[in-house]
Amino acid sequence: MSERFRVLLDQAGEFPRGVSEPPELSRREFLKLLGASMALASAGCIEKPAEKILPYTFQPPELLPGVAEHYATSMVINGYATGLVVTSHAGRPVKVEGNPEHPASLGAAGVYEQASVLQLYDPQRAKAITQKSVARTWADFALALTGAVPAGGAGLHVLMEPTGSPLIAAQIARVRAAFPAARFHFYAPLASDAPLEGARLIFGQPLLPQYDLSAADIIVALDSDLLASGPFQLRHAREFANRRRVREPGGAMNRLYVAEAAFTPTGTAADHRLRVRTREIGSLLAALLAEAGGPGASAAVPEGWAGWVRAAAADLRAHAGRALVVTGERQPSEVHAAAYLLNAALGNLGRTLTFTEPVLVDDGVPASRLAPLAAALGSGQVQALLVLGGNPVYTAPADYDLAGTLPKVPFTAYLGLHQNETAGACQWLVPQAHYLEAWGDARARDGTVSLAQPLIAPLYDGKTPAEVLATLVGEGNLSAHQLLREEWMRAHPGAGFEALWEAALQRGFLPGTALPPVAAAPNAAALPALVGRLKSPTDADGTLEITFREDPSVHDGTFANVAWLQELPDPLSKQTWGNAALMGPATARKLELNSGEMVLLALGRRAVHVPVLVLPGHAEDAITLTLGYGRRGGEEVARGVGVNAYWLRTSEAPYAAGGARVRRLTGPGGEPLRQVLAITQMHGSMHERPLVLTATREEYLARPDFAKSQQGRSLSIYRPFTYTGQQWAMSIDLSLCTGCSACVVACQAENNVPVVGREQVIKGREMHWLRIDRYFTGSEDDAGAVVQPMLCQHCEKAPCEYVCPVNATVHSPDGLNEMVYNRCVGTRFCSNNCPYKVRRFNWFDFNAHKSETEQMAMNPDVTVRERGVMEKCTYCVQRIRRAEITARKENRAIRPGEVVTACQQTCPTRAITFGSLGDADSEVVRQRVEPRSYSVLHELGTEPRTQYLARITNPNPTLPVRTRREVERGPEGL
Amino acid sequence: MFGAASPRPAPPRGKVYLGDPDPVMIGRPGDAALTDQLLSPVWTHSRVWWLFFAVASAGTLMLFICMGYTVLLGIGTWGTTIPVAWAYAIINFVWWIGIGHAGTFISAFLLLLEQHWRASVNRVAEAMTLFAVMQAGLFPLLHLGRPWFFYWLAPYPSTMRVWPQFRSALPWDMAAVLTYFTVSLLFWYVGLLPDLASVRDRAPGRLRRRVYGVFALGWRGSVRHWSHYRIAYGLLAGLATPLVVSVHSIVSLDFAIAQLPGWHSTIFPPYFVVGAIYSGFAMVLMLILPIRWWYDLKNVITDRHLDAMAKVLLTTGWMMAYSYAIETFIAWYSGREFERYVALVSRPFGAYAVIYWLMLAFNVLTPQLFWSRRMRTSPVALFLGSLLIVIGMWLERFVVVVTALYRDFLPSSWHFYMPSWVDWGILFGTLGFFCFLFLLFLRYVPFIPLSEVKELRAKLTEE
Amino acid sequence: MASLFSRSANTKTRIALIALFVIIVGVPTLLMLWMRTPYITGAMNPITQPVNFDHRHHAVDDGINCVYCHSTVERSPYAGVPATEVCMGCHNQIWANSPQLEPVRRSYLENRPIPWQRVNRVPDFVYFDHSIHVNKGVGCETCHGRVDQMARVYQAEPLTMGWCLNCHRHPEAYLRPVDEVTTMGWRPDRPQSELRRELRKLYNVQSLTYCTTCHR
Repeated sequence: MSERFRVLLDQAGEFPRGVSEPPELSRREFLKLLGASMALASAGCIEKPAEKILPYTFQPPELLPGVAEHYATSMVINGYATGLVVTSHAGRPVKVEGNPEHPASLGAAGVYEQASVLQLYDPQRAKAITQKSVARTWADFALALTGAVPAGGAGLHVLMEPTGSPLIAAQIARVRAAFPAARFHFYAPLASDAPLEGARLIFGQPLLPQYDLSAADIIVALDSDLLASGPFQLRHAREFANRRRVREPGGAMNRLYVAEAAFTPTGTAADHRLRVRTREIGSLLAALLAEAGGPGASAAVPEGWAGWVRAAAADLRAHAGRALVVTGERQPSEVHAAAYLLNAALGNLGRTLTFTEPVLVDDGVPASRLAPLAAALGSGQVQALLVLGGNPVYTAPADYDLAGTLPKVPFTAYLGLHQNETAGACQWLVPQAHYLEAWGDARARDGTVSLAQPLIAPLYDGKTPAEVLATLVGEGNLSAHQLLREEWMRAHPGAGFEALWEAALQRGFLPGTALPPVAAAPNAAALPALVGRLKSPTDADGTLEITFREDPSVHDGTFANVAWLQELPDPLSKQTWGNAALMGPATARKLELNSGEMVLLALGRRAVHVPVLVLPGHAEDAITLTLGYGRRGGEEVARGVGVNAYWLRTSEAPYAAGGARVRRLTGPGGEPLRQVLAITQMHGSMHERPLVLTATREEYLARPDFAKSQQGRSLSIYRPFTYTGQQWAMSIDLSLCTGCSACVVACQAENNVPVVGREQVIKGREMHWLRIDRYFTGSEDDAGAVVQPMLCQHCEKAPCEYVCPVNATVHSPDGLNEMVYNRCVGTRFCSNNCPYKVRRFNWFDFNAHKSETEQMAMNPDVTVRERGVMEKCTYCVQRIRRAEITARKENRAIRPGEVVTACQQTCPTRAITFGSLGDADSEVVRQRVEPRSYSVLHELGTEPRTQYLARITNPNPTLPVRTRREVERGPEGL
Repeated sequence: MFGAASPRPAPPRGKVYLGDPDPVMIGRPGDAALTDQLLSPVWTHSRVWWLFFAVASAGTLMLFICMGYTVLLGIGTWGTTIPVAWAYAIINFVWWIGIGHAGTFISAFLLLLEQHWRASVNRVAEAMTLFAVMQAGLFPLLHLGRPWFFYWLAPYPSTMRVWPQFRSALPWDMAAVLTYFTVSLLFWYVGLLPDLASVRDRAPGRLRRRVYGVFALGWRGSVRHWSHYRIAYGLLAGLATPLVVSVHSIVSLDFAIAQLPGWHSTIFPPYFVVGAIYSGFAMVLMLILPIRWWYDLKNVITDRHLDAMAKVLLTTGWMMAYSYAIETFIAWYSGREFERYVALVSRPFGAYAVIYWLMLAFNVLTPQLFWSRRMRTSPVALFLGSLLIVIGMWLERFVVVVTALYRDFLPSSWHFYMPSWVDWGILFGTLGFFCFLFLLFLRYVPFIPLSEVKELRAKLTEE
Repeated sequence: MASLFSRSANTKTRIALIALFVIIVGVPTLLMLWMRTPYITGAMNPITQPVNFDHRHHAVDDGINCVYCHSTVERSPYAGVPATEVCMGCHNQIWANSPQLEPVRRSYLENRPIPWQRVNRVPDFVYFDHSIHVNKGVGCETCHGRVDQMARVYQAEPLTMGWCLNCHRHPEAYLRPVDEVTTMGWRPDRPQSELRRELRKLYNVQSLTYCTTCHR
């Protein structure tokens, strides 16, 4: 059927290609590929052609073939660093995990950080220095650059991504010294000045808010996805979860109020979620101020909000000093300012909310934004433009028209990872070194100085921004490593430097370099004026509000060419390979639109063709469109996937705008044009089945045994299996899971899970071993959502095992449900008989099209599966066996917590626990004896080793709560 | 298209009709006459045959193209997916195996029950069985993810020291189908011996006589030959009879041992066996009727035969109706929400509801025609009825396989199923291949068992 | 009329029938036997290496311990093939100019690895870990044979799964004291049965036969 749609899609001009695998392709290459994938599977032997052994001529002393090393480094997104620990096999980085000691990570890693390893091996990265696509050398470039820079630097502009790097800061200072007239501009499409500007409004100076959720009993998040996006999301999620882990009935919990337009993981975790359009947050906050008794504020509370606002306000007052109001970066500065004042009024300042100096270079300096550069470009004052990183031509507000103005500049050079839109508009392209190839430093959100060290020599001789800046001041001969060390020596003079340097390399950051809180008194008198400006805009009839949002998969487009992320389902809509115009059910009914129908979405004089996706829980009369798709650069995976939202995004309304209009697109016969959306979950409600058990804190206290029906052993006619040794088991706390999907990527990276492409996802053939089921609850027009990570349950009475004709899936004495790929003949009976449908089948040779570099991303400890075999979650058996061997060589038992699965390791909220039922004091045992621990589909008697802790919420007693029945019935027709 | 039924005495008025006034043979032709009549197709050429043969060959070609495509690329070329990991391959497999059943049933069962009327139709039925099982046999191989390792399902001492898993139904399935094929083949061949001999003796041209001679294994029709022959044939019949029941019971276990709502059911074995005989008889009729008409065999394949087979259809049809009823009732009675959902919601009202209701119409309503004696003996009615039943039984397998899978336990994994062009190509390809083989059979083998018919005539004359 | 067949036809038919039977039974049997021959398992086939390295000389005459060159065998899944620098450690003094060693010297000077040919190869989906085996008292020779008697090294055992299972099902039959692991032609000084029971207890050797022991 997808054939039929392809035609229409072409008409709609939005047919995504991705790495989809049309049979024609595979036929041509089939045999070669089969061979290739078998060769890949040669994980066991030295990573070299199978029949030859090439030993080192000079063996590096620290390197032990076949044993992985781990190095600390850090990755920068939107200017802020996250500390990482990267696993490397024989010099190939293959797995990115969080650095447990780093304040921004605490051991967890988000989807971007983990998938960045695939970006490193991206075969379509820029590979050579070119001038107007003629190959050049680094020397040529240095010469051309120094030649092009006008005396005094007048007309020299440098456009960089935001950065807090001390090295870069120092270099910028040096460049400015040499060229006083040079101008530096910092731009990232999702980096907002509003928080700083808000602070300026009431503190008189730009300050950076720092949240401490661990001290907050009540959290009110206004259009803020603080648990799953932003520079400190991992830390926030951990702090939030630590206050929410219910050890026994009646245990203390924090309470989360969320008001937002589009459903986010934070909204999923909320106790009370209010659907509000993005531009209404201001008046909601005004109402909240009035209710919470903010100094001299008063506002009428709109009817629909009344309950939520009163409850939230009451809670805030009751927990003054232990509460927190957070506003999202999308919101204008006055909203932030007002929120700061509300926090101040509640006495939260210095407790849950502190302020520091800006962490990033030139942050909050208007002259260093993109606008002045755009102006200069427009008026032709720019003589030489250096674009260091990012992809401004694609991401800049549409009204700046960089694509039009850049070519007019006499000298333009772009340091970038890909041959992308910006590279196309610049004369020079210098391949950028991926952060896993580069030396550098950066600062975390709290200012902690973090170190980035390379895991591998640059694959394509890439350069870092530091090296380019160095050429400006005649240090082009210095490597990034030298530059960094010299700068650090200057910063940390004295004999202790080497020791400090070594320590920093090992830990990945300098402890104690977080910025101190600034003790500044807010000017409460500014409040009435502010509140006056917190008015909801009124939109003309028939027009909608449109919100531009970070995409949970490809961020702002930076990761659009990473196939893992393209195929990562959106936490709520479960859409892969593209974006869509998200809208609420009532709005869709009003416009007579259904999911998948193409519309012309117009904002002002700009418009795009985009498919509609109806998302329960979305604010009405509003549309959300994520950024980062519709790429037109040289990246093959990204090209043509989804819709480019930047085309609608202008400098005056970068995050939310009113007056959007929608018109249905029809084919020649007047029939609606449709696009099959690559959605991994077709049915959205639980159909009254007890899959995700939920209870409020009160209910749990009143009836601790509410999960009884899903507990206990069940009768069986089979002889009991004899278990010996460790007894592996997993426990997943549904109160903590936000659905952020970090575990999905972790699993994909650890277990060589292939990407299948859009066409195959549409056929239902995605390969994720670990998926996150999302069920909408309540009614369609007032929907909540619950999420449930679903992976192989490792049933003790596994239905898959007894139906396999060849013993390819069997039980191990330590309680694993083993899957033996090399024995599987592919009858798929096991999948049919698996009630959880967690088994995945290699319908084609999905590893066929891997380039040489992509093959380097493979985990050598896990077999790469051949076409025609079944695969599934193994509890990361390779890690278990590795730990066993180590332990047995040392003649000891495995220590509790010694084996950590990939998903567990990366979970920001620590919702996943893994361990042996053997050690009585292990966390997993402690969780299994909790009264809310239950097994899904218990009545089938499969006795899963994976059990779930029922979802406990902590709603405000004064507000209506969904009954368990409402939760399990869910919206009609989903 | 078919000649009208030959005149027969009307049933005596006023009393309930108890059946079979019809003779199993009309007239009492002499041996020579019979031989001439029944062997003539073996050496008469006909353009029509070539026409049909060309079409069938085209179908066969398509089958092998689609099979090659599948093996080269993987079964991703089919519509199967997770959760519907089995579909056309298994549907077609069960359907063809089922069709195969009538042959053995007629030749073995009815032989032991001494039903005279089996004599003239049994060889066609047996041939149909063989060819149907050959079609069926393709699918278990083809649907494997790695067909080149199919032999791992067989118990043999491998260097891996790993054995098949005997708790699974699939190794037994393989064994059952192979046994069934072997026994049917032997049974068919042994029955063929005397007639091959007569072809050998009658055939024009030395070459053809030698060829048939080789296959006749030097049959001379001596008393010793006949006595051995009788024993062998009887023994094989005895062997084959239990297979009629065992094979499809085991096939049904491929589903019944699973715990999937819609599969996990104890009535499957009888339910499947009956269904098999049902579809098998329908198929036999669809083959017999045109042959009877084309080769003008009304004297040996009489209304009596049609009547008898129609009655079998009626009976088995009711058994099917009963099975459907019980299946649904038990699903409701079990009280398990999953069973109920499949039986009471997703089958009758789900995405494949049309197929479900068509299945019921074809399999339950069609046979009701055959309450009427006129319908039972009307070739047209029988042919069309059988056609509907054969289609209906295919739809039934679709309902069993797909509707149970596409909405099972976790709504999160529900996904619809849509066949690909390769699926269709293989289904119709097997039809072509079946006809291909059957036409060859009509052309080169005496398809009415000469000896048995003569014997029958002898018996009848004595009476 | 002339008879269709000559007298010999009967005999021919009988022979044909017997032949048919023999083929049906024989072919699978032969295949199964064939799979067990060195021709398939690749055993017993001395492999020519880029350097004419003689284990007999180094292991016996010079009495160099296996671990001197295969140095990671106790710590890593891979025994490890020595880096060129290890060879040159001695051979910059001994036979420093021998033409035999030309490839080694070239490798050393040009810093290009010596392309050794793999001898013992397990399938790609098998995760064999040398370190655990040698640490539990499985001798080198148990799997690799008397390398000290091989002019050119060959695969001494079939390395089929069945062969692995022989040991994994009854490990005690193949154990030796850990400090004797590299000894070639080791003979127990005591009744083997009791010694091996002892060793199995001492090293806590388990019989691991579940699939993920080797397949992951």
